[in-house]
Amino acid sequence: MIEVFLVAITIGFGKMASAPIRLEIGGQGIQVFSRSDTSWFPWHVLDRVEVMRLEGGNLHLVAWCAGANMFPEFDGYGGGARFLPRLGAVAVCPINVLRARRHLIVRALHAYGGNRVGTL
Amino acid sequence: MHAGRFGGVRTQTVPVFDIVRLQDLISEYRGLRRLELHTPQTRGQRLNQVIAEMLRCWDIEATTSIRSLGEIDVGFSVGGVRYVVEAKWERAKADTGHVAKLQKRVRQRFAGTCGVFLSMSGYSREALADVAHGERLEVLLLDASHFEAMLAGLVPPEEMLSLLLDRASFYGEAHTPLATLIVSTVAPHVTFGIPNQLTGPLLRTAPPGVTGEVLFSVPDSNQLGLVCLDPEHLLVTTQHGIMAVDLASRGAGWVVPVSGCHRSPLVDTDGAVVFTRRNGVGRYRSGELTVMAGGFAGDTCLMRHPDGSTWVFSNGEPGGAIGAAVTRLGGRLGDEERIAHDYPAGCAMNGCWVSSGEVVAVGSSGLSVSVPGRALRWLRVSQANPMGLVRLTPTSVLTGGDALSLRCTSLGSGQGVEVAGLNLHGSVNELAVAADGSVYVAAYCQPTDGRMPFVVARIRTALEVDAAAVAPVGITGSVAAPATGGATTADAAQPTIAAPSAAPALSGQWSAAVPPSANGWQVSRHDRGNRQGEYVAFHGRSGIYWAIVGINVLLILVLACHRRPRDLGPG
Repeated sequence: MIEVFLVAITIGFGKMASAPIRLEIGGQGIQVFSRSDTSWFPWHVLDRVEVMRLEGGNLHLVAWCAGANMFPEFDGYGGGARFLPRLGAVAVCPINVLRARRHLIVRALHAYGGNRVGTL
Repeated sequence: MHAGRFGGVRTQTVPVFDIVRLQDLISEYRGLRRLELHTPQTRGQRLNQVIAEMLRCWDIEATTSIRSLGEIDVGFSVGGVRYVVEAKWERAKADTGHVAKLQKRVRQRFAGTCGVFLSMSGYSREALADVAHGERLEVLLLDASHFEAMLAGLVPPEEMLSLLLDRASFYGEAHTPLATLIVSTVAPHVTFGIPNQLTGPLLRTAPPGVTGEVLFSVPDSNQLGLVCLDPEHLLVTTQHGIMAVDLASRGAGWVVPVSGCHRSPLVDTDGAVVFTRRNGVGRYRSGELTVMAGGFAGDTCLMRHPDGSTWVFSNGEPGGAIGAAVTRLGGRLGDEERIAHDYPAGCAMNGCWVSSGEVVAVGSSGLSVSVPGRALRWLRVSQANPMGLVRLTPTSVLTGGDALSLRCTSLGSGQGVEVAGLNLHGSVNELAVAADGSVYVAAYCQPTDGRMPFVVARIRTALEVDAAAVAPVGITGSVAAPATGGATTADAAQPTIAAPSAAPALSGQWSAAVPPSANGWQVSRHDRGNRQGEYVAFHGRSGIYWAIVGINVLLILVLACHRRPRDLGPG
């Protein structure tokens, strides 16, 4: 039985290892290439972007935009964008799974997002 | 800049001081682009004069080749600001040295003088970085798209300079792409259901069998336009941009987030949307804006020829030097082919092709049928101020006139029959038809609180509609309207939702292949949204996961080895 469990989690981690999340912040918007989907947030739909701690204490990139509820509330283990009903926002991407440090992501947000970047 | 009137709608067309000369310059621009009768050197010299002449067409006095502390290609003044221009049209992109030369010349001049660098081939990455990270922004960087937009009248020079100065002053950007410069910062806004302003039934008069329903309304817009892609998907022009509306899912999103568009757009086979703005015509696809044509006199509307080509009907200037014209558009600015039209200048409100040879125009002088460049055949329209016009078959059209009446006219006999009378305000309206005979009408309802609300209604008729008139170039299906709802329904008694977008957008993105969301954006897109070289990528950790996988594999192997002797048993 334990072998079955180990094989299952090995496959799971194998998938996570072979398809890591990729976050791109650019002149046109923010894009997240996750295992479940590729989410695209052009700047003109984003009202505010913040890096903040969510449940479990993990840092997330959180965006406020109209139509946030179009995202699922739970993304399985795909690591993709998900709706946060309490905040009315989208958790775009967890930061702790990225190789880059938090401050580098914040700098990129400031560089491309200008005044959309909120309290960080 | 002043706002003109077009059948009661403020179209905000900018008066061109010398439209004839501007059209000549646009024709000459084609030759310059192709290096016809020019060497690269003479083209560069001629460009300075073209810039100055273009500015004079907009009543801006400009001087070329000012020789003092270093030569200035062009100098002019707009709104109290003095501009000095350095223009380059070379094969290579402008580099740091070119821009630095202009910066030096600006510093040699009186404080407040603004430098404008025009490089028709664009800028090297280093040049853009140097200007962006310099101490003080003293120059504006323009490329070919900015110049073409000014030359075409899509973004007149005064507006262009104002927008560029805003970006440079508030955001510190020396170079702002054209699409970003004129992008709309307002979210699309529609309300499904019957608006409060509409009291009473939609249909005032209608023959038996004709029914009508209000689909949605736009709370405030001084522009309106309408295209039917299929019975469930419409494109609607508002003053803030052109939006796609999905009637099935009750959603709306920008397809052209460009403010100042007017009249009904056209959709190309590749999903690009062609639109009119000011005196020019632009093409928008996936966030890229290109200037197609310009120099149109008076008010303009787009027409699709049965062969799929795009044409513009311009009604000319009343009493001016230019009359009405039909213009076949080419791929780029300068490729257009203008043919004079005999409709009295400034009187026609709309035009459309009814067959490969005949174009119909409608306006205060009546309805004319003509082969471009030849004499007109006039038909009487018993309608006041007809404006809406749509082709039903090669021999019949539907027009929309005052207060608001829809009338079908046979082009052969000239006989007309009223299709419906609507309880809608004024005469400004645009029409569209679907293959099932449904007529879509965009028209203003009673204005309130200084707002100009318009409604889009569907009238179900038994009109004979030629399928070729509905989708002449196979547009149906190539553009999908939003699939999800972000707009509101009036019957739910909820206030309309305007998505927050206080800050200016950097770019509009929309792809025809995948339905965008309520905000005109594809929540899920598999191609890269950011342009090459304009983004930072952050990769996820994978080493830790590989390590866990390795440990797990080892554990499985160890467990398997331990279990095998035990499983074999004592025997």
